[in-house]
Amino acid sequence: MHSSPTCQLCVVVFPVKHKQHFLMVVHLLWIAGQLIHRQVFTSNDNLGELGIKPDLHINISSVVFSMYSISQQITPNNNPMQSTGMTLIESTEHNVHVYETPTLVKFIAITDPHTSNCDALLTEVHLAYVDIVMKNPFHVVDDGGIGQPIRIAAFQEALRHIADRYNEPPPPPKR
Amino acid sequence: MTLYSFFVYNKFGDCIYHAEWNRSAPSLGEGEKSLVAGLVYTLQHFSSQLSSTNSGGLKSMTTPYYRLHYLETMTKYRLVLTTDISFDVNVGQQLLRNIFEQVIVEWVVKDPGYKHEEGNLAVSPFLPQKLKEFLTREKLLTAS
Repeated sequence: MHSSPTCQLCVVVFPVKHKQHFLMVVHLLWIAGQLIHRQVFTSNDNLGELGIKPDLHINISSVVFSMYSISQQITPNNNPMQSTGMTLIESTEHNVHVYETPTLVKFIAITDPHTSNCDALLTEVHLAYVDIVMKNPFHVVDDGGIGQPIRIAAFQEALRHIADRYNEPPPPPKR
Repeated sequence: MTLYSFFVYNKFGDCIYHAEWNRSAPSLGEGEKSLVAGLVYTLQHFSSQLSSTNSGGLKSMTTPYYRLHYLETMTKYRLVLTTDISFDVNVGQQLLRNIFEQVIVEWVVKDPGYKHEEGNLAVSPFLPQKLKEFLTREKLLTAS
């Protein structure tokens, strides 16, 4: 409620409810778990030990990859062979979202703990991956069964744009 | 709101209690306790690596089929509960805390014959019954 001293107007402000993510890191894992792309969208302060030692990216993505298959094996209510692994890990300061394509490529997004669903964002990342990486004749896909890191600047740009769109702060309330 | 399984680990990683309800997939037997222990230990370590304030801890892990809730107490007891997906994370956290305070503390920790030692798996024979009573009161298990 805002009332101006010069006139007797009373304006009620309703804040606009904006679905906001806070995307911090994206990892792309190839079929056998190799980290083929990683991109950080936040300052190192938000990432704890990972911010201090960037080498931990490979460590962390391997952990998620292994835990994915264990989480599939311990499924209590479905045949483990027909289950899939985890889609979300929630901890006190971060949420980790895992999205697996039918070709067993995994997209991993680390966000703030209030983002509960990252499917739309990861679908867009998947689309960018198909358009910019898979359709690129110069990208080496599989050299002897080992996933090759993605060295395409346009892909990084595209992810940067997607992250910026989802990380937008809510628009200021209209007066 | 279905419960599937429940594990309690002591600070040495031994599984001191295990219970199952409503389970439809075949159990992996003894190996499952170690798998779950390894899984939650790794995820907890992973969460604390990402955390900037030293208090980062795992709360839950969700798959399209089930949700796993985790609670680690200050005395390093680890409680793991798997449920269906409709079980909210915060409800699960609160439930684990209540189970710890009202069942584990009362019937395991306060048991004069129990010691929090490596390899000591002998817990009170009252524990399964008391846990079942607690969960029935909470309307999570149907009284049988």
